Amino acid sequence: MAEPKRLSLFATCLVDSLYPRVGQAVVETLERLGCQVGYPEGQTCCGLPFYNNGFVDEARALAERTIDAMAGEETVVVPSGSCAWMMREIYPTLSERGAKLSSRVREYSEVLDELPGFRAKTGAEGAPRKLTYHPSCHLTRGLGVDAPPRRALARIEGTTLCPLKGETQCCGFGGTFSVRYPEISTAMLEDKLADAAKTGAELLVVTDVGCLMQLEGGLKRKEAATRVVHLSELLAEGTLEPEKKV
Amino acid sequence: MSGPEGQKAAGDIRDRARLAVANERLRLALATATGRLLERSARAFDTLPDQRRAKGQARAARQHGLANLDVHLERFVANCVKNGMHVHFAADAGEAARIVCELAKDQGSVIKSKSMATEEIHLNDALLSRGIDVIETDLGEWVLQLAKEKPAHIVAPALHKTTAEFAGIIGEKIGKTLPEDPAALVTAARARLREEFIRGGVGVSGANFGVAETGTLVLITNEGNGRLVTSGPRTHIALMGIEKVVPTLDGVVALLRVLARSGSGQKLTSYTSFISGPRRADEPDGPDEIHVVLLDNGRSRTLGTDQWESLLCIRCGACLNACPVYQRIGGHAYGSTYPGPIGLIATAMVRPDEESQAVMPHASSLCGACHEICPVQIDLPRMILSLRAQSVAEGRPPALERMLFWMAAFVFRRPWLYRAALGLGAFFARLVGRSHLRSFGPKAWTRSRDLPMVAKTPFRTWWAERKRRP
Repeated sequence: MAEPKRLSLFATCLVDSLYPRVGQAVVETLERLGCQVGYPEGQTCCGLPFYNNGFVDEARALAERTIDAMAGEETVVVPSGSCAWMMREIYPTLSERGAKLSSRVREYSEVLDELPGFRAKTGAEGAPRKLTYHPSCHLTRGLGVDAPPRRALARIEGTTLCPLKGETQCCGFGGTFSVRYPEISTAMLEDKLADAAKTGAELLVVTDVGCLMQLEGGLKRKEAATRVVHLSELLAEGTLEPEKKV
Repeated sequence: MSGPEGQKAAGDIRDRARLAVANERLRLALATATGRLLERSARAFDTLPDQRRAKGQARAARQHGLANLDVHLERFVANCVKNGMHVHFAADAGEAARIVCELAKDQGSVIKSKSMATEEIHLNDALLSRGIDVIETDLGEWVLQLAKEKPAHIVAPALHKTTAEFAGIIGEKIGKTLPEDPAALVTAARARLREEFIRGGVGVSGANFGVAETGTLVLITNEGNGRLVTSGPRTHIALMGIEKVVPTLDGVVALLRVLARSGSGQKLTSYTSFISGPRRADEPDGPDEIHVVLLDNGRSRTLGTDQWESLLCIRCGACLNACPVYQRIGGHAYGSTYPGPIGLIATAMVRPDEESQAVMPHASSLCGACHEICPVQIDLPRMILSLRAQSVAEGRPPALERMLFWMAAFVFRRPWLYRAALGLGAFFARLVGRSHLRSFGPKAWTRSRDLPMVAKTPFRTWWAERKRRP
């Protein structure tokens, strides 16, 4: 038995405060795949909302505090593409210590991709089988991570991945953009939800908590049957185990 | 702004955007036009063996020019003069307009080929106010001039207009009822514009590039109007941003390879003109005089800032087509000569006011589609972020906004305080007993979306309880 992979979870403030179910699913799935997950409690916000709004000094202060909180050598797993982008792409420009943390940061699907492999199955009878996937802007264009979430989804037995038309179009969240330009943001959301509905999928899978908040907000308002989940939640719902060595 | 979407009454980009989004007809026209341009562009790029390399070479050609702009500009000017052209420098829009008006006066009407730089300096208004008649000869620009509108796109100025609207506008001008048939409309416009070409005393154009090593102006068009404008009248005036200097002809080749592909989805435009001087003694055609007006208008200042990369822009308009914001509000809502992602940067450069520096930079979800599609790989999201940072550094955001961000940072920097705030939120959520808010909370969010409340059990609480369990 190899040494278990040690991970340090940066949950993000949105997961901590609004979507603890995503954090729980991340911990549970990674543990089921043989990882040891720690959660440094001094963490708060990565600083992205401040950076994106031009408050660079505040962003730098939060980067420094996150660098302190996430000290150590473990891989830092982040369940949201935009926060991972902030830590990986922006921290090195804000702090001299930023590059070191930056090199340790992985978005959740990247961690899955670096594991030896796993087998997954949807949950019990009646579990959703038709999925569609919205690739987040920060993960795909910002970090260049496109294949890992798709590979993870492809491993889930008993599901069909329905192609989403215009999948790379932004969902319209964009942080404070969603409230500074609510009409444009909503128009983008409506188009995304319409495209998702056309796929006939029961589940819309995302890898970013910002997109999750936007898409969920729109779906709930419409009282739509489609559900939006983070990749980790989907994996946690069914059976999940490391791939047996041949 | 004069536009059809009721922008007149509107305050700033936020108000105009609201009106534009609500305009179903406009949204459909935009979605169709941008979708078609993107598709054609993708197909044109597919004919290149290595797109990435082509874009890299194009960027290198632009960067080569910007790296020692002063040197290349001097060389460009010296070679233009050697070729018999006159060169003028304009520090700002007003000066550029004055120079052109002075050169154009007493020579009859001005005929123009499409040029964003002339839009930038509001040349038509300046000419008309001095009693000089001016006629746009690009079909889209001409129709917009007749409709008293501004261009809504950098390369497809009238993409928000339908064929029926074209028929109505052109028909009214020539006093005939025209069918909604593009070929018939072009034929009618061509006949009418031909008279203007013959009458025109001065031709005004922009320039896609200026070649330093040869003193050459490069101009690309699809309708041939650029060639008529620059060769028919006795005087040709070309207005060119100083950043458009490319050191070598090889560089221009690298740029032409991507420009038409990005802009109109063509391998090359129908006409590519290289203008290296007025008519020579043994030549039958061409202008007797060529004046090159080099326009700064904020460019040299931008060169020294974090937004310098935006000067690499070759005005292809691809970032507009790819932008989810532009796709939904169109060009007029920006209220600027330059719309779309590049417009956010360029407007702050050529028109540095409160709106362009503090409000417009937020009209982006930072999705990065613009960076991805840009043929010279300008990192537009970073430019937009740098504008936002500049706005904060200059104390532009409203006091309430600054206070909110300051308070949020104060809390996030103190984990104990953050935990307390989170606990309070969770307590409140339990009290209310709901997971989402629908009518309370910030209207900007809740008008169209449910807002999640703080979780009854935040993640860190779950973690702490889990750890306590044996």
